[in-house]
Amino acid sequence: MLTRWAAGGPIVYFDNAATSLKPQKVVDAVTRYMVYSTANIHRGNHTLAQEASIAYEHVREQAARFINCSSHEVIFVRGATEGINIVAAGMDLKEDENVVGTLLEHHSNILPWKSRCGYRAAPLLPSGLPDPPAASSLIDEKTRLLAVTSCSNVTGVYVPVRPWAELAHRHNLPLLVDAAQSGAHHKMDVGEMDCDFLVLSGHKMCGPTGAGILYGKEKYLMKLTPVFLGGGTVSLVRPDYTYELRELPWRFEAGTPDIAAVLGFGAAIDYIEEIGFDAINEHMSKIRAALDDLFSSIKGIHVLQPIDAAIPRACTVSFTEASGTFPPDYLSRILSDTFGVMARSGHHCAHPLHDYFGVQGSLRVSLLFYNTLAEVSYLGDALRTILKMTGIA
Amino acid sequence: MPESRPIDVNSEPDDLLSRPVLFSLRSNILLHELPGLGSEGHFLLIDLVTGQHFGLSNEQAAIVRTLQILQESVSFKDVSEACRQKFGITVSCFTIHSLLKDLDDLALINRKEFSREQIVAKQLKNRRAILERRQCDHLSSLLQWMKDSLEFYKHKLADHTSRISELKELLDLPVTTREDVRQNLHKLLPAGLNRYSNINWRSTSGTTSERMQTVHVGDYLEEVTQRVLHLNPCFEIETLGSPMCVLTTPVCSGLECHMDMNVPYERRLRYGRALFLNSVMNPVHFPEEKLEQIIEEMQKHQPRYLYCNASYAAALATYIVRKQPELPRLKTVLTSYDVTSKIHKRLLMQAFSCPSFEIYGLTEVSQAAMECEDGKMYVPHDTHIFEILDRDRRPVRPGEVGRLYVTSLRKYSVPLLRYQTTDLARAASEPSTTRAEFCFQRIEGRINDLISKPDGQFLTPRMVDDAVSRCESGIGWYSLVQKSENSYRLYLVPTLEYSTRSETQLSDLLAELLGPEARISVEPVKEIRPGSSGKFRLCYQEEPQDSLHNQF
Repeated sequence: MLTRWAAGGPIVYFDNAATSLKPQKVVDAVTRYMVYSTANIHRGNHTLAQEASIAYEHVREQAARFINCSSHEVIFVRGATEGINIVAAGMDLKEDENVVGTLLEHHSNILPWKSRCGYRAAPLLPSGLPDPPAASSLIDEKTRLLAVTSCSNVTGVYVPVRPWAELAHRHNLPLLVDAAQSGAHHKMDVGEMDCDFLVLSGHKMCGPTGAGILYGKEKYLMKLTPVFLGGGTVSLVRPDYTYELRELPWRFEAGTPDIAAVLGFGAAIDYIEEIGFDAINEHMSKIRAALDDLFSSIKGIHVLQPIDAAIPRACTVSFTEASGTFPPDYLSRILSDTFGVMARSGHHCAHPLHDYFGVQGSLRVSLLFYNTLAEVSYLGDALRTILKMTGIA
Repeated sequence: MPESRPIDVNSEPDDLLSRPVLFSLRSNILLHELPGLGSEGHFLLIDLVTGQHFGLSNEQAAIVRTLQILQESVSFKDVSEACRQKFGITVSCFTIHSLLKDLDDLALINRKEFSREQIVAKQLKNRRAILERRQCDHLSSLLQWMKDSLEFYKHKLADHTSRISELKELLDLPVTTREDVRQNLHKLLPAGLNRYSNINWRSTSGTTSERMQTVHVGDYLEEVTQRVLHLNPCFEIETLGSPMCVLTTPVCSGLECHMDMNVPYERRLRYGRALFLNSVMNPVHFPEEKLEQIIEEMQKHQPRYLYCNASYAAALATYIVRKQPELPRLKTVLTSYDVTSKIHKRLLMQAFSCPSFEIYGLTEVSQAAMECEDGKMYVPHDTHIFEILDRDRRPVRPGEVGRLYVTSLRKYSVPLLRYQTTDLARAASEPSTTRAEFCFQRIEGRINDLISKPDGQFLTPRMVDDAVSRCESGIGWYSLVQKSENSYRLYLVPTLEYSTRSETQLSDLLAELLGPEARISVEPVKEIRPGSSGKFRLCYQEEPQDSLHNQF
């Protein structure tokens, strides 16, 4: 796709927080399954069915290694949102109970809780990080879970998970980590994080849409009531229609999954591991520094960011044009149509955070390891040109 | 009073002083003083024969009054003296001479040989010349400003003069395409954009090609819309500020929603007078509860007119005709956004018991042309210049179809010079006999919606509608799809009145339109879906042929 041109030049894709591009390796994996080995999994004994089942379960093992857990603790879901909903729906939450989160959360880590029980958000510190002591004060005897993001999809700030795990466990609560924005940026080690649930979206990690994972510690997964039941989730249905759930993870995977997407997800994990997180981190830190230089040098831009620039952040920056002359939607359209830069405008499914910043929406650029320093420089030129032409900067 | 004789405009002032003024004003003209205006344009000279009126300065009005009072032959000097004595105004012989020339041009001087028709024609000709002169002056200063201020036009117009003395010189200037605007938007924005009040960004729907952005600033949109509406006598000044309702394609974004019945009335009210009614994704399935809500809101809002996409308002009109609810009395229904089918126009007029007119606008520019009582579309001379051109960019002949090019005269943010639209228009068969403004016959539809007859001749959506709308009853919505070179299928959503007779009639009408080689089928369907931009297509080719579109 990077060979596609827009506005007289190659596309500059800066919307990776929404979804990443798909490398050829991933496209090939999906195509191979579609063209050469289509079959359902776990259902048959013919050659193709067995090949598909083996390949599918191989991805589960890959994913388990990728986040450092056992493969039976990995449940394939469509994405992080579905993973959180499965946990929320399976916990039998009561209206008078509550879940504690943070102001940084995506709607997907708010609404599944809020629709079932109370939801309380820890405020932000001046650094832009959520405040664990403040969260501690929100916890009471009716609190059932802590839910935090590992990386804001708006400010890009990385949230250190370990203090939140300690806080949760001090109160005998499970911790759910929304890692949708981190999977392609950082090694996710659930053992090191000591989280109890973690969700990832494959499509933000170079995988196809329709595949992600819900990780859960066995003891917590076993307490969840599966939301979806049907083929593949039970070991037995008796004549009186009572049934026995299958063991983990299959009790949570009802019906035929998106097999092609899962196989593509496996190829994406391969792709990322081949590059390696050391190389990724090294490149991304240079990109981050370039973004910081760029946004500190452009007049007329207001960045929604932590005051403390030393806080580690992903290469995600949300901003507005300060005078209000260019609403985010139209700045996005101009960057796209006139300069070929694909950036996202809106509230990025984070209304509360935008309320906190006092804006209705923002323009977000989010970069991944295939983006280059030259592209950052090009973005700077485009923004400066727009603002200069109109006399704003 | 003696009859006039031609005035020698080359006369020297010295000659004028003693020279007799050998003419009289026509008796059926009226000088009317306008109270409360500034010193210039204080008076109107009204021609009671033609209904035309002309603004006069205080000096000019004094001369006219003097001439009306003086009953016998006088000299220029006498007129000047009389103005000073009777009105305390000093006028030069130059001013008198110049005014006489203008009055003669406007056929306001008594000439026995002139019939009423000749007077009207002379005034129209003169008025058109004045309007063209004004347009040329305006365009010249606009071109100079564009060259001086906007990088895009600095390069584009580098080899062109900015002085335009006749409108036909426009043909020598370069056109601006949608691609030009997309790729150079930043070079079309005015410096100091952030200092304007009311910055209004707009994006085209992308129905016919790639979308593009533009921005309107200050009161531009409101002012131009008023100018356009003013062309139609239905829109007196007091109506423009009156309550109105808007029913269009659906809008529902994070900041604005005209689809959700739970969004309160107040949040859909703009400028305190324009109520945006809740729309739907597909008007073919407009839920009754939503239509009832619309009726209630119209009763509450008491609009003077409805501004709508007729394909959507047709659902409302059908409901009104069937249920006969109590409604506020509308002055008119304005239809826009798309070619309005005559079927829907009839329905709207029946439902609201008022006339319905089309207004043509482009997101890139503003409202730009208005249908008037003679059925033609008029363009305000001081806001836009329309050109209807063939593929070689020459003006089409009267009555022919061409591509529409629009020049914006008042737009200083992303101004457009000879902007190549994706719309087709038909030139007027003959100029208006009553109005001086530029007029054309009608908008024919989008280029992308053209179909062809088996013999290769093109048909526009409007031409298709001319045929289909002759069907007496039974059609709710329709779309004629050209399946192959000579195969056509008319999809239609039938109304309760639809019968086998309707089907036969439609087949006959289409056969007449498309010719004997055409294979035609008529298929009643439960729904016709609008395109992704919410707009309907009265006709289109299933497999578009570039050769057809390239004719324009």
